[in-house]
Amino acid sequence: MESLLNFKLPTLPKLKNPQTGAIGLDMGFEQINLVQIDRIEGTFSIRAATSVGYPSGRDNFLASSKSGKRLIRSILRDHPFRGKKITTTLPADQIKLMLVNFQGHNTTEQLILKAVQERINTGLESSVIDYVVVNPRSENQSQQSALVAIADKQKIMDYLNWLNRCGLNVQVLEIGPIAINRLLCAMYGDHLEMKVLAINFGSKKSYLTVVWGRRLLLDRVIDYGLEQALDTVSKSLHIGRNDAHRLLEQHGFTTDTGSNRAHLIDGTDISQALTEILIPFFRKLASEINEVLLYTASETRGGTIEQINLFGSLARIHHTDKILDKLLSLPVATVKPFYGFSVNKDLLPAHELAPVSGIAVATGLALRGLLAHA
Amino acid sequence: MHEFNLIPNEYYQRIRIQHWLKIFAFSYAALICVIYSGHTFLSHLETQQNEYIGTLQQSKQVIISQQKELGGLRKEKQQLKKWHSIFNSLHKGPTAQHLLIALDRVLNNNIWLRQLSFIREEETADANNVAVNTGYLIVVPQELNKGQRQAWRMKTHMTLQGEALDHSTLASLVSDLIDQQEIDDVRITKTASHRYIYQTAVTFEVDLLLNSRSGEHL
Repeated sequence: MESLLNFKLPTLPKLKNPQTGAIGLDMGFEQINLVQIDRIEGTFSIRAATSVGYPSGRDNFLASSKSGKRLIRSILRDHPFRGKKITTTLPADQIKLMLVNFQGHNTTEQLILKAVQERINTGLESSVIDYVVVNPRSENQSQQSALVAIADKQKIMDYLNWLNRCGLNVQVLEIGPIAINRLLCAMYGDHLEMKVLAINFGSKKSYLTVVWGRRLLLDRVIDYGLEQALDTVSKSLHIGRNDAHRLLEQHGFTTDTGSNRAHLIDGTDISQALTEILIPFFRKLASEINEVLLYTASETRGGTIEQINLFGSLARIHHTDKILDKLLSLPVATVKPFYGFSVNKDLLPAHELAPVSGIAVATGLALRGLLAHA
Repeated sequence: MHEFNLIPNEYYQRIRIQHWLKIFAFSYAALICVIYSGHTFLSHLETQQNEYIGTLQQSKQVIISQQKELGGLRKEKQQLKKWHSIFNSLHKGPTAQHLLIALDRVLNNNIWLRQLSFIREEETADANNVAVNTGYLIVVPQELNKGQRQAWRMKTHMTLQGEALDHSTLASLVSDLIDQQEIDDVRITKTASHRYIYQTAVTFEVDLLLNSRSGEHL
């Protein structure tokens, strides 16, 4: 009888109540990327993610809402996305990002507007401007910097209307660097004082973003991307751009000097050749990075970046991080998609996560509202 | 950290307006649906009620006709009751047996009867002119006799002829007869003295007016 009285029902595990964020949508140059994240008891779990190529190019895709509606409907049907609320960015060619310095006694908005007007003489009346102060004023600093985004209002409205016609409910229109910053904050978690340079390689342009202790310190756009690399390879080897792309994806680069190997043409030789062809191309990037490091050091009174993270098209090519690591005196690592997130492999087959760049931005967008401090 | 958001306010305003328009359109559509459903439902109810009213009106007609029939039957019943009471009345009055028993009670050795007659038959007579003292009258309702006030008269008549020892005996006979319940009145219509060889007797003829109600009590 006593044992019966002492009997306790087994305690049921507490039901987890996930907080689902908006869908992060990034209109990449070649593919549309969507990610949605659940936050379950403080940890992030990828609810759904996909990356789908445009049927006939991004411009044609954006020209007709019919094809967009069809594609987005099929994506939402085939993947476990919840809701139709999205956080997105404008396509890169429709937005102008600039870092402006300002100082004075007026309000921040007025000072930034004045600085922007000094740089751009006309067209601000029909533009939408937003900013984020990248190095908040300290006692010793009189000058501040802000990352300013400028976009044509009509283009924004057209884009929003297009998304609306596709059945999506746009909550926020952001920019890539902010999303990357948020992604890094989520990845590094408790390392509050992380000092990271994120390089997001695009097709024609790449973005260098410095995240300093969870703050965006710098975002710089450089004319540097996969297309330039493909041009260089195709000119050197007298092959087409598609073949060059295939070679790069298939063989990648190598850090091996090749002096001890037999003289046989194999995959390593091709990697060696590609590396030698593109070394000047990477040196150009290294010099840009060094400039950023200098700027960062001056802005932070001698602070140094501790880690360089690579995203995007060039980061997908094997050993890009190793090449840059050799050229720079900093640790360089290609960031895998959803690093540090819980991922259901059944829901997200590996081939869907190939475009690291778009997925990274989309993931950063999807994190909006889920981070406690961002 | 400040979050970028490049969406102009007018977009949010437009979305809000669209949202309210959607709510309004949905509410309007819902209202139309409710009104249409209500109209259909009320029409259906009206049809049902009309059908019910029609049924009730038919029932009412049936009831009215039945009430009329009932009224006629009641009138007929009243008439039949009247006729029944008339016929019952006609059959009332003392029976011959009771009369004879009453006679037997008053007769003694000083009286002897020679002839006894008893007549009872119905006859009609004008109720206004009929002589009440000659018998029992039953007034027949006018409608049964087409306006003429007629009476049914029971001709109940009893005549005794006999002889008494003397006038005193005859007087006590008459007195005893009057005392009988079945007899209302007694009239001596004829008396005469008759001499026998050894004795004198009084011959008499007496009409008895009989009590027509006495039969009910017997």
